Amino acid sequence: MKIPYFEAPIKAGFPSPAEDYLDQNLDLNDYLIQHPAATFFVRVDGDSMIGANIHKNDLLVVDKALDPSNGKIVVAILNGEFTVKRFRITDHHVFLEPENPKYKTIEITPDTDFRVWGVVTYVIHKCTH
Amino acid sequence: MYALVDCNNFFASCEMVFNPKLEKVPLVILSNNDGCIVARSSKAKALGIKMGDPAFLYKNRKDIVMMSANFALYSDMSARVMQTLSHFSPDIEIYSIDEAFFSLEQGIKYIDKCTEISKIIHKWTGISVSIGAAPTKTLAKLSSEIGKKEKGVFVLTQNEIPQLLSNTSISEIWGIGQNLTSKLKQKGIYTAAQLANADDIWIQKLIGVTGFRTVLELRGIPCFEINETPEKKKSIVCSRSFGQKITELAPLQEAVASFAVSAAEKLRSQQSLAGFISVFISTNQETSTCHIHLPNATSDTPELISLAKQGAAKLFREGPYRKAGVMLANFTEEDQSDFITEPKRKKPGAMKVLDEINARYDKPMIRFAAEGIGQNWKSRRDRSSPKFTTSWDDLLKIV
Repeated sequence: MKIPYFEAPIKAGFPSPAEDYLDQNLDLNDYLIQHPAATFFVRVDGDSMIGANIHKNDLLVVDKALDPSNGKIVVAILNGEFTVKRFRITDHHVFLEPENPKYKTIEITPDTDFRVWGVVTYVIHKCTH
Repeated sequence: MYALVDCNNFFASCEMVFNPKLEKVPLVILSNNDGCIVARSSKAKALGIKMGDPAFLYKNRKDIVMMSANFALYSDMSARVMQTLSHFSPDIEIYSIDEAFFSLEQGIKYIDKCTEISKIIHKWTGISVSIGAAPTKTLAKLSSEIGKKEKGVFVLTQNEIPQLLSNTSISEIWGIGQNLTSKLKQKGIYTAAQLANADDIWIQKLIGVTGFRTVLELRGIPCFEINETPEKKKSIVCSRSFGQKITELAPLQEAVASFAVSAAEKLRSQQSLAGFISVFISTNQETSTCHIHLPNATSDTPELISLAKQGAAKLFREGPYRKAGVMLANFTEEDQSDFITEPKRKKPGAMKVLDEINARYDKPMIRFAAEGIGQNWKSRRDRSSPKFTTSWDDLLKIV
């Protein structure tokens, strides 16, 4: 997405005094994406993270280059299925925490088929009135 | 030091990034029109499924998952792999959708660097790769094959070259095609070691100057820089099976025109001109072909379109046709063309602009009317995965 700016046309006479102060377009990609090659957009299709302001149909910016750490929101693969949850790690345990009382915290044991796919860096939510 | 990164089971791996359940089953990817197998997961390879096997062989196998090729996804994932690699080396050459050469700074710990690159590419993109590093590009390509069989990374040192070469047959060598292979075999040369040890003058006479550079590369003497390849293509073929049978001339001409467009684009990308074009059309029973020799070699798309359409018109009976194709051959270099005989037909400028504009977008933005609009003959891809990375409507859904 680009926000256009207009370059002053070249004319005889005085140049626009503002011309020297023109900066580049603001590109949301620069703001939202640290590692372009490793960043993926995914769509939310559930309500288990409502407490973290992640709603159905929101867009998540997921960066696979980042390592998950305690408290980060991650996209993980659990038993072959994708899920978005908060990542909790203590000395001996790993948990995936939902943020909706309807759902239970999932403990990851050595037998769980589990891996982190990427770390969620931004949530893009469409404002409705 | 040169290295080659090669993505493992690339098309199958791309599918698995967005559908991890596929990791647990034998997965095959089908060509255009779902006709034959163009990629296999390692589980599918283990079942003995071969590249190019017709899909119907496995139609009733419930254990094998078959998917249509999703090129929008594969090319996006390829760009991600290449972009990740470019963080590590200023010098990278994208060799194919799933392979890239790059140079490694002299004196570093090659094995550590390559292992790091392979780890990061896998973490960032989800695609696992093999890397082979060696003193020359030709040897790096052979090394990556060893990497694939072993731990994923293989670094070839100068004193390991003889051992590798004696285990390599000449047909596996980069730049030694079918013609050179049979030529060399006639002279009793079967292994890369025999080729590397051949007499300089004798071998140069047999396989030419470019071929001799490959020999030097096998000896560990770099002859091909990054972005330099042993040989340009000697012919370019564009052909497809149709999604539905064609019984009229007009759609058949649209199809061959569209093949001529993509063949001409490839021709120009290697700075060649074609002196020969052939057109073929196939029914279920037979293939008919028409050959056209051009008085003046060309890479001009409108000219090649018109020849392809004439060819199709000449061959056309009632059909029904299920496949067609265009082949360009008898190449000369662009700058060796004859400007005297027919200067007025040359439109290098227009074609250059066309290529530049089309290169900027995923889909060709400028097309020729002769290619048709509906392109109903185009193949069907019934079992394709969504365009996870290139379409807002197709994003991966997460609960």
